[in-house]
Amino acid sequence: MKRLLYVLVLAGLCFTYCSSEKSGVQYGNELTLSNVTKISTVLESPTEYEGKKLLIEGRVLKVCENKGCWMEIAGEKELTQLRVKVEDGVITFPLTAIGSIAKVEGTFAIFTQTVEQQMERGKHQEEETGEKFDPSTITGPKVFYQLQADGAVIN
Amino acid sequence: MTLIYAISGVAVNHVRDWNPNYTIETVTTNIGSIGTNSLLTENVVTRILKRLDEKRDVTGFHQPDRKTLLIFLDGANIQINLPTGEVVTEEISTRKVFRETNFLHLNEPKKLFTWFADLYAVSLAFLAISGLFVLKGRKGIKGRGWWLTSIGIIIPLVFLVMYY
Repeated sequence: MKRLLYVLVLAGLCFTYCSSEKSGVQYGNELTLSNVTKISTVLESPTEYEGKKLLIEGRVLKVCENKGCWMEIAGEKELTQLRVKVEDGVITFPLTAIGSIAKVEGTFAIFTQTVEQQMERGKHQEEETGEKFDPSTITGPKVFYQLQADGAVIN
Repeated sequence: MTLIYAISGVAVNHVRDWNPNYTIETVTTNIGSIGTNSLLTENVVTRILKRLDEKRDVTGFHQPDRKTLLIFLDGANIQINLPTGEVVTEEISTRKVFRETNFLHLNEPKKLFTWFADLYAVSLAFLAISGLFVLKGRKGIKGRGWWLTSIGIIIPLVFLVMYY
């Protein structure tokens, strides 16, 4: 009985440690780059960076509530942000990262979505985030940018 | 480990009804239109927080588009619709025990834990199969055990037929 109590106390202490806030938590692969490329610089000349491995840094604005499979990172300038995406289950970004500063390393990609794809994506995001999707905002194919992330450090 | 998988299993089974990892408390208010076309400054953020009577420390803010302002506080996040003045304040906290058990159940650690989880799964499979032959006689696989094993196979098959 005593031994069981010791084990339970140890388990409780471990859970308490795990639950406490930690800074500088790494997700996925370790970062290999040291120079940060500004998000605003990338978005000003996106074709220059397509396919390139980049390290970006910024405040986490949003995180996927369902599977933690994407984040939106604020750029240095207002009205700029970049979406960071991982494969489901490979990395799970915590919802509590919103508002924190993150460094993310990955490959910059440019996608063109058709109207149908945007509709599907809009409905999916409405389900995920609860934010109302307005189909009238879709007027034609849209180019969007994304960092396919390999690793991140969130403070 | 079995308890971890059991607790997390029930939690993630109901993912349509709740977020198994986090509690998200939201409060919606309205402070009137802020106005849109110009970019917002720290002074404007301070005035907004005063209108909200918000005293928590500001850790940052960002305007993702001309209609939206995000303000990050110590312990909460605020989203403001600038034209309408609607303010949604969100406080996110992890669900104790559930977050940790889901973390393991869904193999978020990866690395060494993947091997351990595989070993555990193989052990459970061994227990399940060897358990069929532990008891002899009326209570064994030739007696009561046959019926229990059959039920254990039929029930999942029924659900597969119904929903797969």
